[in-house]
Amino acid sequence: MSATHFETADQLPAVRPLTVRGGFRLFCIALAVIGGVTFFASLKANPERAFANYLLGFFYWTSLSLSGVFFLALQYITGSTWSITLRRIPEALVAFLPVAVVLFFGVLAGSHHLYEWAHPQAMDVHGILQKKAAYLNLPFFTFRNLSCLLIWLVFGWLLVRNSIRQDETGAVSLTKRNTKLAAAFLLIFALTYTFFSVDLLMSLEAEWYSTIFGVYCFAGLFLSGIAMITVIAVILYRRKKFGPYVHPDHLYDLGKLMLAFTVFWAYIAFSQFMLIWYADLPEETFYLSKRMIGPWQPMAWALLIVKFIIPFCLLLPQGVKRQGGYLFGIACWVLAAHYLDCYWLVIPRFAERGPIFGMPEIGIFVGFAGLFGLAVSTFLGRVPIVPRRDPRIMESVNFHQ
Amino acid sequence: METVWKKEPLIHPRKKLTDVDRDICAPMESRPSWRWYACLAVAVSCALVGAACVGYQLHTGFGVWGISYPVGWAVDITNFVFWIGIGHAGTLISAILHLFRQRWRTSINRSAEAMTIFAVMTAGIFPLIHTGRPWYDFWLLPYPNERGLWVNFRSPLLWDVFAVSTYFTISLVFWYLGLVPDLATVRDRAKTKIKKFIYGFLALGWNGSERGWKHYELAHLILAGISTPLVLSVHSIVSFDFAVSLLPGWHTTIFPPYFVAGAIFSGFAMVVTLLVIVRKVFGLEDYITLQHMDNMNKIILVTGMMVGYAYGMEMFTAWYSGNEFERFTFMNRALGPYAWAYWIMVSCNVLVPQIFWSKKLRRSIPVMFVASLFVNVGMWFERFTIIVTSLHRDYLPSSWGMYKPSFVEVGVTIGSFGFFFMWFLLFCRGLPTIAMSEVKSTMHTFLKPFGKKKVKVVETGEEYVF
Repeated sequence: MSATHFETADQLPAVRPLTVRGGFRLFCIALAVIGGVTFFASLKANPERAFANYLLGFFYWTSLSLSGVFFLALQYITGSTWSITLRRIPEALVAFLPVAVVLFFGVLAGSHHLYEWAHPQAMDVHGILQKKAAYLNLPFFTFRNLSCLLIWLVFGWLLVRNSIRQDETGAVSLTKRNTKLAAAFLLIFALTYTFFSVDLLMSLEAEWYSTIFGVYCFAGLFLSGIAMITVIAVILYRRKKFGPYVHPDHLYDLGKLMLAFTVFWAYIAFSQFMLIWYADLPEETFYLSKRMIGPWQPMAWALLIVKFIIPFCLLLPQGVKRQGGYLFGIACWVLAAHYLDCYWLVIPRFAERGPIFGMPEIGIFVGFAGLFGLAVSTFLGRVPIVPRRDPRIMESVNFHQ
Repeated sequence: METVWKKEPLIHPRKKLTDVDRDICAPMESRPSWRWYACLAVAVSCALVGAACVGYQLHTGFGVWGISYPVGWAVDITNFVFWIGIGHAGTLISAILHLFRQRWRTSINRSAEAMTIFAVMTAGIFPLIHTGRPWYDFWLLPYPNERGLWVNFRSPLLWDVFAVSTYFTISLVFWYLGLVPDLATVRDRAKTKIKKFIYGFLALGWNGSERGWKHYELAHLILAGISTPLVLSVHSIVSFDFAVSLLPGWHTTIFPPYFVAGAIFSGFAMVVTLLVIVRKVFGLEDYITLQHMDNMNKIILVTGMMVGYAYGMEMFTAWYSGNEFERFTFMNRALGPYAWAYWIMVSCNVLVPQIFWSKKLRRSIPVMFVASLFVNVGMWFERFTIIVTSLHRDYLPSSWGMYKPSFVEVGVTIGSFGFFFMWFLLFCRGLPTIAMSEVKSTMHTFLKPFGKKKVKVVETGEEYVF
C-alpha cells in the first residue's frame, strides 16, 4: 500500500474539525422541512399512513444512530485498533440520539393509529391480546422505550465525551474507562434493543411472536450502521479530509464487515422464515403470508435479492473492497435495502392490498434523513476529525494487511 | 509521549524459535509417563463399558433403554447434541478467528481442531445406535437401490446426516493440512527409521519450499472460508431437528443462533478443560499462556450471556405469545418435575461464567478449570432440559409421562467420554499439540542486516486481543 509509515506519534499531522459547507446544512434543513410538511399534510389525508411512515423513519434512523454506540462499544471491548482513525464517524452517528428522544413522542402521538393494543375496546374483545395486556399498554410502553432511549443516550454521551477529552489529555485511563462502559453498554443493549424492536415493530401485529425478532432487528441495525459509517468514511476519504490517517486498508475492513453482516442478516432471516414455514402454525404464518403471498410477494423476493444476493456477490471479490467508490455504491445500496426491510416489516400491516409508495413515504423518510444529516455534520464540524491522541493511534495509522 | 500501551506477548519472550520445535515435539520423543498410561487405561475402560452397553442393547433390543412413549429422545440425543456442540470451538478457532486476525489462536488451534474431530466421532455414535439396527444405518444415505426406496429429503434428520458428515470431512482435511509442515518437522527430528518413515509418509514430502508454502497458505485460506459457514450451519441444522416440530419448547425461531452460541460456549469450556491439563502435563505454559486462557474465558463469558439471552427470550416470548401451551411448557421447565435440570442449566451456564468479569479469576487456573467443568455439565443439562422436558408433557395431559435413564444409557454416556478422551490422549503423544509453524509466525523474529554481522531482533509485543 502506498500509505505512509509513521515511526512516532509526534510525526502525525494535526487534525481539525471538518468544515461543513453551508450548502449541505441548508440542504439538510430543507429535507427536514419537507419531512415536516409532508407529515402534517398526510396526517390529514391518511393518518395511518403518515404515522406508519413516521414509525418507519423513526425506527430506521434511531437504529442507525444507535449502531454508532454499538460500533464504538464493540471496538473498545475487543480492543480493536484498525478502526481508531475512523472513530469520529460512529461518534457522529450518536449525535442523532438526543433528537431521537424528542422524535419518539411522535410515535407516542400516533400510537392509536399504529397499534391495535392501544385501543382499550380491541383489548376487551380479543382473547389473546388480553393475555398480553400487562405488557402491551401505553404507560408501560412509554416508560420502556423512553428509558431505553435515555440509557442509550447516556452511554453514547459518556463514550463520546471520554473520547473527546482524550484529544486534550491523551490519557490511557480514558480508553480503559470506555472499555468498561462498553461492556456495561453491550449487556444493556442486547436487552433494551430487543424490547425496543418488539415494542415498536413486532407489536404492530400484536398477536404475532417470534423469539428471534430482536436478533433480526439487531442484524439490520449493525449492517446498516457499517454501511452508514462506510458512506461517510468514503466521502471524507475521497475529499482528503483524513490526510494520511485513513487508507484503503481501513475501507477494506469496513467492506469485510459489511459482507459478514450481510450474511449474518440472511442467516437470521432464513432461520426465522424456515422455522415458521416448516411448522406452518397459523398463529405464526399469518405474519409471513401477509408479507410473502399475494400483492406483497414481489417485495419479499426483492428483499432476498436486494438485501442478500446482490450485496453478497458484489462484496465477495477481494480487491474491490479497497476501492472507495465501489464500496460507497454498495454501502448506499445496503442502506436502501435496509429501508426495504423496515418497509416490509411495517407497511403491510397498514396496506394489505399491496405496497404503496408515494409522497408520504419519500417525504417523511427524507425528513428524518435531514435531521440525521444535520446532527452528524454538526458533530463533525465541532471536533477534530481523527482522535489523534488515542494511545493506540499508531497501530491504526500504520494498519496494513 | 507519555502514553505507553503495555501489551502482553503471545508467547513468553524467553522462548526462541529453536525452542519451539524442541518443546512441542518433546512428548513425541520421550516415553510416556505412567500417568499417561493410567489416564489411557481409565479412558479405554470407560469406552469399553460403553461398548459393552451398546452390545447389550443390540443383542437384547432397544427396550433396555429408558426411553419410551412419550419421551422417545433423551440421553442419547442429548449426548449427540452435546458432542457435536463441543466440536464447534475448534472450527471457530481455526476458521472464524483466523478471518478475524486473532493471532492468539495459533497456540490453541491444533488441539481444539483435534478435539473437534474426536467430538464429532463421538457424537456420530449416538444417532447410529439410536436407529436400533445399526446394520441398516446405510439406509440413511440416499443411493439408488433395487427397492426404489429413498430417504426423506424433507426431514432435518437427513440434513443432519449431510451436515455432520460434511463437517467431519472438512474439519479433518483442514486439520490434516495444518499438520503437514509440522509433521515434516517431526520427520526431520526423528531418530528411528520407523518413525522417520511414518511421519515422512504423513508429511507428504513437505520440503518447506517457497512454492510449497504458497500453495499451503492458499489452501489454508480457502478451507478457512469453507469452514466458516460450517460453524453456523451444523448446529443450526441440529437445532432444526427440534425447531421444525410443533412441540412447544422445541418450536421457536431463535433456536439456530441460540444453538450455535451454546455450541461455541460448551466447546470453549471443553478446550479450557483440556488445555489446562495439557499445558501443565507437557510443560507448555510458555506457549499456551494465561493470555490465551484469558481470551478463551472471555469468549465463554460472552457466549454464556448469549445463551442466557436465549433462555430469557424463550421465557419472555412464551409469556408474550399468550399461547397457553407455550406458557405451560416454560412454567413446567422452571417449576415442574425436571426443574432441577433447568436450574442446573441456568446456574452453570449463566451464573457461573459471570465470575469471568474479574481479570484475576479469568487468569486463575484452578478457577477456570472448575468453571469450565461446570459449563460442560450445564450445557449437557441444557440439551437434556430442551429434549426431555418438552417431550414429557405436551398438549394432552393424558399422554404425559416421566423419563428415567436406564443403566445402559448411563453406561453409553460414560463410554462416550472414555472414547473421546482415549483419542485425545493418543493425539497428545502422537502428534504435535501446538501448531509449531503457526506459533513461529507470531514470534516476530526477523533478521536485520547489521554491517557484516547478522543481529537477531526479537520483538515481544504482539496483539492486544479483546
